[in-house]
Order: sequence, then C-alpha cells, then structure tokens
Amino acid sequence: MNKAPIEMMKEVNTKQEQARYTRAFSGFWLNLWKGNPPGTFLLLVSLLTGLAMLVPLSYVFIRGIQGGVDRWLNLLDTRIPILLYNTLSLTIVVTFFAIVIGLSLAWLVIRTDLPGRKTWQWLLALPLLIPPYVGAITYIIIFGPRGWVRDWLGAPLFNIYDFWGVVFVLTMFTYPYVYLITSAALKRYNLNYEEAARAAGLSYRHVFIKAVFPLLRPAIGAGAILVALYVLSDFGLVAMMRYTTFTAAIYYQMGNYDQVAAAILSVVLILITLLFIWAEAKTREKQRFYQSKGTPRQAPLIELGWWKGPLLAYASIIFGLAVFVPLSVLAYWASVGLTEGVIDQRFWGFAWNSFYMAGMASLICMFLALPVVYMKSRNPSIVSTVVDKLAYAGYALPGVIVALGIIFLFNQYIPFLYGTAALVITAYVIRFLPQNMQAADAALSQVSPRLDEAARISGFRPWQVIVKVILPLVTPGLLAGGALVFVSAMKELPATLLLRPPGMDTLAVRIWVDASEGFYQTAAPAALLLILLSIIPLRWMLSKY
Amino acid sequence: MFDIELLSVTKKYAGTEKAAVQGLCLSVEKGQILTLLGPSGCGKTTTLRLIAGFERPDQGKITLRDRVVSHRDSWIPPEKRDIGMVFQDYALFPHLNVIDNVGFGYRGTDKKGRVQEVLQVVNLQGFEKRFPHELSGGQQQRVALARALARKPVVILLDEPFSNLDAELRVQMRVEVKEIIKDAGATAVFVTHDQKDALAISDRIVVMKDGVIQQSGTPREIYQYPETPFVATFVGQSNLLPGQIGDDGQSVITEIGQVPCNHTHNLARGEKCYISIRPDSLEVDPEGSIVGKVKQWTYTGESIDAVVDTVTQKGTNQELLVHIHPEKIVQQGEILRFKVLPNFVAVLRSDREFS
Repeated sequence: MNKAPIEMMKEVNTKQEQARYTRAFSGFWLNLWKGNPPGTFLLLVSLLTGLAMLVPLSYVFIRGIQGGVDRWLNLLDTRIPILLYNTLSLTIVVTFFAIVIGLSLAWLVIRTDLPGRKTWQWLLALPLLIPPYVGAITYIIIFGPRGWVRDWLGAPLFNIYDFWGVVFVLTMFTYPYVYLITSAALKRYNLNYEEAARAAGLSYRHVFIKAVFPLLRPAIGAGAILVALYVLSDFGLVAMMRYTTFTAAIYYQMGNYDQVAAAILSVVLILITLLFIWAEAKTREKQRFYQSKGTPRQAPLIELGWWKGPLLAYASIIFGLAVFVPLSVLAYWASVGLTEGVIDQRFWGFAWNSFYMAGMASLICMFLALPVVYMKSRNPSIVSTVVDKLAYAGYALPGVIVALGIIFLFNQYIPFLYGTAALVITAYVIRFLPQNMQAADAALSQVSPRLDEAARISGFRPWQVIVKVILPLVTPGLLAGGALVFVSAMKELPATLLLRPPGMDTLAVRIWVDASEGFYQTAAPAALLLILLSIIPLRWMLSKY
Repeated sequence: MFDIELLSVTKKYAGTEKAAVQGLCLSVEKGQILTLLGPSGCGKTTTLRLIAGFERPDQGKITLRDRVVSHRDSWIPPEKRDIGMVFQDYALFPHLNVIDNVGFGYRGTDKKGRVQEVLQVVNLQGFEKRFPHELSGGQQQRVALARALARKPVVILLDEPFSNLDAELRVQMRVEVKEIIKDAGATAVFVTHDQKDALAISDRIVVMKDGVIQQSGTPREIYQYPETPFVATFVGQSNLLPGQIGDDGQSVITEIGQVPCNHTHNLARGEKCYISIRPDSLEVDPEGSIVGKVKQWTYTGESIDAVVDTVTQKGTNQELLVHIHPEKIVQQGEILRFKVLPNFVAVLRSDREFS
C-alpha cells in the first residue's frame, strides 16, 4: 500500500528531526565531557557509588525537614541551644589547644636542635593509633570517681567528667592532625622567605611572626578543620565521658526510638558541619595562593640553648600523657585479663565479627574507589567532579547520622536486609570510602595518562585499559587504602553500636560496653589488639602528610 | 595513494578563544615520513592527537588508508584505528618487561616470532626480560618504536620522540629511527619543534603556526626557499630585507644593493617582496658589493657568527647576521666586504604577514 505523500513527508520530517536531536544530544554529551566521555560501565559504577553515598544522608535531611514546625520549635526552645553551646564550645576550645600543641611540637621537631628530634618526629604522631574512646577509658580508669587516684589518695583530685576533662582527653588524641600537617608544611617551607626576612634585619621572633606563621596558616587551617570535624563527629569519647554534644544526643534519641527528634538534631549538625567544610574550602583557596616551591636545602636548626631542658620536658609530657600513660593502663588491665583467661572463644568471636565486617567493607571500598577516582582523573567534567564530591559526603559527617540514614533507607526500601551485617558494612563503606579514594588518587596520579593512550593505540578498549594497565599499577595504592579502611572500620563505634545485628558485637562495641560497666580486664586486651592492627597502615598514613 | 588525509579539520578546546587547529588540510603518501614542525602551541601535537583519535575534531574529515575515521557522524575510537605511536615520554608500561611491552596488544598467533622480529629491527635482542627502568633512554626509545611497529600499523605517529635524549644520542637516534621506519615501509607522522630533527628525518615538512599551515615541502625546499618570513626565521637563521624584483627577473633590489637569486616564485618585475639571506650565503670577498663593519662576533668552533653593520643606500643602518669561516681572524670594528651566494637566497611574497 502506498502511503499518502503527506504522511511520507511527515515520516521523513520526524526522521530528520530525530537525527537532529540525536546529533544535538551527542554534541551536548561530548561538550559536557570536554570531548572525552567515559565508558558506560565506568560511568554507571561511578554514578551509583555517588548516589549510594548521598541517599542515606539526604534521607536524614528530608526526614528532619519533614519533622514539622511544632517539633522544630520545641527542640529549638529546649535542647538545641544547650547542645549548640556544648558542641561549639568544645569544638573551639579543643581546636585551639590542638593548634597550640600541634604547631609547637611540629616546630620543635623540624626546626630546632631538640635532642632526638628524628625519633620525636614519629613518636609524637603515635596518639593517632589510639582510638579516642579508648584514651577516654584509660583516663577514666586513672582519674574517674572510682579510679586509681581515688584509691591512692582517698578522693579523686578533680572531676574528669567536666568540660575541661573532656577538652584535655580530646586534645591529647586529636593534636596529631595539626602536628602532622604543619610538620609537612614546615619541611616544604621555602627557606628563602625566612632568609629574606632575616636579611631585612628582623630578629627570629619577628621572622616567625611575619614570615613563617603567615605561610603556615593554610596548613594550620587544614589541620584545625580536621580536628574540628573530628570533635563534631565524635561519639565514643564524649559519651564515655558523659558530656552531651549533638552526636550523643542523636544517639540517645535513637535509643528512645524518637527518630524524628534524631533527624532534626542531625539536620542542625549537618548544617554546622557544612559550615566548617565551607571554611576549609576557603583555607584551601588560600593554600593554592600561598603554595611555595620547596628548597632541597636542609634548614639550619635553631639552637635552643638553655630552653633545651624545659622544651624536652614539654615534648616528653605530651608523649607521656597521650601515648605512654594510656598504653601502660591498657597493658596493666590486659595482663589482669590474661591471668583471668578472658581471651576465650567469646573474645575471638568478637574479633571475627570485626574482621568480617571491616574486611567486607574494605573489599567493597577497593572495588568502588578506582572507578570514581579514575573517571575524575581521566574524564574530567562537571559530572565526575560532582560524583567525587558526593563520595566524600560520608567522610565529614558523624557516624550516628550515617547510621540514622541507613536505618531509614533499609527500613523503607530494603527491609529484607534489615537486621543483617549489610547495614554495618554499608555504614563503613559510606564513612571510609574516601580514605580508599585518597589512596587510589595518589597512586593514579603517578600513572601518566600517556600510558592509557599507549594502551588504547595498541588496540584495547577503555575497560580493557583499566584491567591491563591501570589495575596492575595502582594495586599497591588500592591495597594501602583498603588497609586504612579496614583499620578505621575495626575501630568504628557509633554506627556499629546502632546498626549491628543481634549477636554481632565487634571488638569496638565490646570495649565500649565492657568499659561502661567497669570490666576493664576484658576491654583492655581488645583495645590493645585494635591499636596493634592500626600500626599496619600507619607508615602509609604518615607519608601522606 | 595517501595513507593519511585530513580535510579542513578544525579543533577548538573547550574554554579557549582560538582554535588549536584551524581548517587544516594535510595528506601523507604511503611510506612517507612527514614532520609537523612549529613552536609550542602551534597545533602540531593537537593534529597528531586528532589523527590518533585522542581528540575529536569540531569539523572536517580524517581518513586513514581509505577508511574515514572521523567525520560528522562517524567516529572510530583510537583502539580501532590501527595506529602505532611513540610518545614523548615513551609511555612504556612499567609493570611489563620488554617482550610484553612490545607484544602489548598484538593479536596474531605468531606473537613470539613477531616480537623477536621487531626487536631485531630495533637492535634490542638480549634485552627481552628487562623492565623499562632497567633500560637507558635510547633503549627505551627503541622499545617504544618496536611496540609501535609490532602490529604493522597503517601509520606510525611520533610525538617529540627525541626531546628526552641528550644531544649526542639524539643525532644517532635520528638516523636510526629514520632507517627503521623506512625499512619497515611504514608511513609516519612526526611532531617536533626542533628544526634539526625535522630536516634530518623527514621526506616532507609541514611548518605550522597558530593552528595554520605556513608552508609544506621537502626539507630542502623549506630551508632553501622559505615562503613566509616566519618559516625563514623559524627554520634556521636568516636576514630578512624588504625589496622589489629586479628588471632581469633574477634578482631583488634591496636597500643594500641588488641581490641575485635563483628562485623568485614567478613574481613579476618590480613587484614588492622580501628577501631572505641565510648567514651562510654571505661570503667574505674583497670584491663583494656589500660593505659592513663588524659589530660583534662569537667564535663557535664551526664558524664565526658575526653581526655586521651595513649602511643602506638611504643612509640608515642595517644589521646583517653573517657566518664567517672559522680560520679567518676578525676584529671588532673591522670593515669587511661581502658577496651573496645566490643558492641560499629566497624571495618571500610581501603579502604574507611579517611576524
């Protein structure tokens, strides 16, 4: 049958139009990717990863907003002002002391003739190995209401549970962030500035104020933000020391099954966190501006003279308080535990739970990190940048909020997995994937894009290039990142507490529960095991800064 | 028969004002070595990457041995273009030894034999088990070349392959690479900013500037008869003088006198033009017509590079760059007479922009 001419013309028209739309779209698509779009598989994995990172958090946000005006007003009237005061004052004071201690120690070990400075350089980074809640437990053991000091003197010297107690313990275990980053900046510092300032006739005190400190400011800022974000997100330490910040309040609301209140408090905390991250982005901008070329010259060491003794004592005291004392307390209680035979079937069961869930999370992270990082590096576009940023979302946010989002999500959409280890593993992946991504990014930056092109030209498709060239070359970095994720997941507390299925207690959970009930002899061996495991990725972590 | 054809290819990078390559037309005959020569940012590397398929042109058509690889609606990705490439940093896979690098991507059943064959061609037998970091720069270069040759590609692209080599090795590798490519009967496109590389290795040279072809020709044509002031000064040194074609049609009348030249681009008598005189084509001669005072001189061993001040017919000063035979002893301020050897004098059209 012949079609009517008009119909035929219509058909031709639509075909032409379709072709035009196809061309317009492919033009748009190419433009979006600057002429270099990624393969379908790569794009899909990356997009899904970014989405998976975002969904639980946005769910918390939506739930919080939907909480209703009444609940909001009620909370704004009662709890939020106190929580804001508690959280912000703690964050600011701890960050301040962390900067003072971190910066002074960094300067001492890098730029002065402090005896044994090479050894001090890594000794003073060791507090990073000790999970802050473990540190808190050891100080409660010493100074708590039923602690050793009371046993010796008949009464505790002071109340460890008050604001300054919390500040002290938090500072001891967070100063290494500032210390490590400023040490690295001091090592890179271009001596010419300092010499130019000295040549201009300034005394060293003025040189430091006018030429060293301003150039270190971005590094100090970066370290300070890490400390601040840690304090905002910490749950184990503040809860252990009975100090209520947002995270602790959210945790207890969830314990009371008041998820709306938990979501509302989470929204406020997310906003505060975003504010801090925004501040960090600002310091980064400046960092680019200040970026200085390093000199290969060894900086002349500043002679301390008679200050040597007092400053050596200062470094020793910090090391003692942050590393030696906690480890000694743990060693004592672990030996008590060992003689009582606490390392039994049960203990290894907890260890296996930790190992299993942390191991799964680190495997998943190793698998997901490469596509996201690879796409960002090799197919730059607004899409890959957004996916990369999304993947970092879980990093900055407290574990309790991640857990809350996961509870909402699985309850609503994946109920058959509710109450399984999948929830805990998902939380670990969301929280720690960025650690793996950083490692993968560092490894990938060593691989020239020319190698990709050489492989393409040799007849391999993009996904084959990843398998045959990229993967073999970045595997060490991926594994280092995986180890980091593994250790972080082993130590993770709040999300595990909230999400663990019945009977799936981890070492971290047992440490927390046992210590809360005063069973230090069972908590201490587990804590020592975690600290020992943390040594594995430490080498890599130190070289990162 | 052309192995490579580019037809009015234009490429503009996102976020830039000017096109990196503008309306480029280029064709390379089978078995030829073509060099894209130009300063950095002239679009030569972009052209190479367009041929390889690492960049997509905004307009134009690219054909590789009768197969359209890039046109408005057709696009063939790099892995299917059948191309061999030698990268500036060689891009040898650090996790593979020489055999696996050379055989990378070789699909035939005779992989082992073919790898041995190309290793013989590049003279690298005995290095099969070494890894890239265990090889010298020249050896890495040869592995990269072997890898590019192994799959018997339609064309071989070389991106500044000599820039990472020291001067002595560079001279040696120029000869070797040319021989290897010729023996393999391959068609090659080669990118460089070094005129000596280009003159030594090419059958044809294409000089580019700002994304546009300035001149294309054999090395001799490019050096002896540059068509634009840019080519004359970029490929070798030259003295550029304005003038007009003499009445005999075999010379140019300039401010320093009438200069004979063999090649005048068929410009009409009296027509305005530029003349390019290479420093080598000015010879010290007591009978010469050009008189000048030595302003400064540098002894280089191969010659004496001198700047000579001459007085033009108008009475103004004109500096000339002259290469004097190294045996001669010159003094600053000395007055010398020169004559012009007609072979290395080129007439440039004055309608081409002076740069």
